[in-house]
Amino acid sequence: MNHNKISVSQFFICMFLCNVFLVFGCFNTMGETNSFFFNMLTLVAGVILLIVSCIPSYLLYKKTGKTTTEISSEHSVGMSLIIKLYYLICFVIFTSVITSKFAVFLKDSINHEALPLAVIFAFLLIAAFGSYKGMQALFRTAIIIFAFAIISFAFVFFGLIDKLDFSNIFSYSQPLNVNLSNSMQMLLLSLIPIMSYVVFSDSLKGNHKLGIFYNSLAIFLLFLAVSFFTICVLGNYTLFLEYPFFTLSKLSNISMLRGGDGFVFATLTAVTFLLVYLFFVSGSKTIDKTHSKTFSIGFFIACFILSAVMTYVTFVYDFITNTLFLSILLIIGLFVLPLFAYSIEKIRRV
Amino acid sequence: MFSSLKENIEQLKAMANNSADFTVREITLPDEQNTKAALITTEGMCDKEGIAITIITPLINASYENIGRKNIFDHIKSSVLSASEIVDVKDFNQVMTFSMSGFAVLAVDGSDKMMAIGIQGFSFRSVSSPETEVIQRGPREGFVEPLRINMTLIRRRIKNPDLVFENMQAGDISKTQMCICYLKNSVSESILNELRKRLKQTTLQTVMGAGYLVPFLEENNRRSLFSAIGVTERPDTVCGKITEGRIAVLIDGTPSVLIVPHLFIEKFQSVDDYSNRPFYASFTRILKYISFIIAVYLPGIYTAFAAYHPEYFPTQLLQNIITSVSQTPLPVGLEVFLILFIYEVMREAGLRIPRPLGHAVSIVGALVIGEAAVSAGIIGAPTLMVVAIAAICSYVIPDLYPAITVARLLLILAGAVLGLWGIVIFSCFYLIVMCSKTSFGVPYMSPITPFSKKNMRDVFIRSDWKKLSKFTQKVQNLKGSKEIYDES
Repeated sequence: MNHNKISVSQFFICMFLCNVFLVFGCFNTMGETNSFFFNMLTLVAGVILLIVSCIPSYLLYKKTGKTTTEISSEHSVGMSLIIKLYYLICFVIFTSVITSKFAVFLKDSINHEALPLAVIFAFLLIAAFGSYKGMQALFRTAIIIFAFAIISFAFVFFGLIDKLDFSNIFSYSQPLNVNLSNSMQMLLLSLIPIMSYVVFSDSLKGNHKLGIFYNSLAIFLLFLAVSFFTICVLGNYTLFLEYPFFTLSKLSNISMLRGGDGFVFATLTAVTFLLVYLFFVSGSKTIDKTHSKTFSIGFFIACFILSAVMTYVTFVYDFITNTLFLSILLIIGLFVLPLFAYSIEKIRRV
Repeated sequence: MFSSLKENIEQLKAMANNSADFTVREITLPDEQNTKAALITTEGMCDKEGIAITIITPLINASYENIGRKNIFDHIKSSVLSASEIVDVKDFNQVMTFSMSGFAVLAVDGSDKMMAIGIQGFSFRSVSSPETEVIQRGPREGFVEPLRINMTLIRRRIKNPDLVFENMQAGDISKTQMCICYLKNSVSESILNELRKRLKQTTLQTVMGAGYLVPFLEENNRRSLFSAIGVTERPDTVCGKITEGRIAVLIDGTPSVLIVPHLFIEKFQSVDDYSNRPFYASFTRILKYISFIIAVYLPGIYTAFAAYHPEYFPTQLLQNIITSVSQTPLPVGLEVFLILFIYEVMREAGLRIPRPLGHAVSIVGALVIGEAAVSAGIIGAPTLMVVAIAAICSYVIPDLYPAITVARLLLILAGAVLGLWGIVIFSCFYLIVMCSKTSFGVPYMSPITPFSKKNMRDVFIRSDWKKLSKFTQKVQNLKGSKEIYDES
């Protein structure tokens, strides 16, 4: 049995968790003031975008049996170095963005005494330890966190059945262009974890195509459920809350499940950590340094320095967390480089 | 070895350093040459009556007519002695090992070899119900200290030629006998070879208990709180495990038997689960998992909530807790830590002191800690209750008690310093440790993760025997298991 292989379902459970909580947890872009109907339309577009973003890497591996980095390695040392470095930089940036955003969120909303740098340090240190333990540990951990997430959300959702009010289903409380802009940002950011698919496409065993489909469907359904409950239970109350996650967790405070937001917060923390862990492992896989202590320490130092700079220098924080900047990084990593690798391979074969 | 009996005896006496329990009984055989023989034993290890009946009497009364001096050794072995177990011994080290294992070694003048006769008769505890694994229904037999009796207890339950016992030895000084036990058709060859290799590589001087070998058998995360080596004192448990492809390691001198590979979920399974009806077995199984979570997390979460997130408490409870916390001098984290520490001290004292005094410790604990400390305002009643609930829950899974105790203290620390966030991040860290752990190539958390629906029939819910008997899942075939030892 090849131990470097992971099952498609394990991989996509991890992707699913990272996608969903990235949007609900750290980025204030979910249109909670939109109508449920509008959110649903946006989510359909999001699901299509999610599938489309996986297609280049999927096709590349299916046609050539290699990943982008493998093809570049076969072509020339220089190109391999540039492409691997690009993906590594992307993973460092994404990790820093996630940890910084989470640290800010924690300080502002949950624990005002929290030291952002201490939070970032702990997150990165444990992820570095996990990266040293290898990718199997990541996907096994994801399954337990997934089970915990299901329990905590079932806990919140089913305590709210009696509070439903369907009057907000078609109402718009913000102009259409604001809704559109919010939804677009959310969709683009939800693609961040998909960058790992580029690296892991050769490690997946089983049917990739259906894996992508089921993952997208699951994300769609969960977004839909959260959007439905947010809008139909709370309505305009969401306008007063800074973080969409908090909207969700506060649902429990108006029901008999008071205190249930602790569950949601715990899940959010666990899944944010999972995302950071995924990037660490993706980074190590990019340069074939799984189980490498040196790599884990190096990646940890790079991420910590960038996160520290982002925490104290506002300009850097604004620049790196800018949606346009992140979108460009994603488009190059998800579309441009796999297509470029495909064309190189095709020319080489001819 | 020498052919002279005198020289052999001198050599053996020198090797035994004239130890007081090393005994030599010299006998003169009634043959034509009055050949000398000697019976070498270790005091207290042999059955004296058995020696007299099966060795000395036949030796003295036997006829040696027309038997030459050269053939006398073989004649004694084949026609004189009535013992069932006789082994030829050709070097002095073997003589010492056999003698100290309860064999009587017979040396005959003129022969350069000796014979070890199985006549063990040392005193030992009789087979009784194991105190550490109490059950309501099912067999009451538990392992005892002598290896051979433990082997019998297993053989009596599996009367199948596929059941194999393989002798080994560990401990440079103690030369402790061990035995690995498996079902030939069920076991994975690679796991078996790896186990043999690890047992041979032990660098111990003495092996006085099963715990000595555990670190040598674990493959990764040896410093983890949870052990990937199973320990049991029940022969029925061992038999159940070896039918699933596991291997048992029996060690002479201890009633604890090691079982490999061992998974996390096995800590929650007991013999009673399979005797009771499925609905009740499933209920107790779920109860154990919930108790485990409460035992580990409750004090930590209470500390985090009281210190950083009081809004998470229900309003009525919040009022009581605020009143309690404001009236006690210590911070909540320190208070919980202190009560747990005192509880552990009392538990340890209760375990070690003579039983009649144990009641005194309980009274002092209940009165001083439970009553006086709360009345004096040193500790709060809610905190005491939280610790008490956690302590009771931790006894539901006795196998996990050491791990629960340490994990609980670490979580209190995380909750006191970092709040709920600290508890979650510590849990993530420990999840990684447990998910990366393997036991002889089998994922420790299997079949929860990597998830296998087929094998969940005996994890949280215990299916009925009709379903369980449809197939026996071999441990080496669990999802995520790897054949990493093939090369060795």
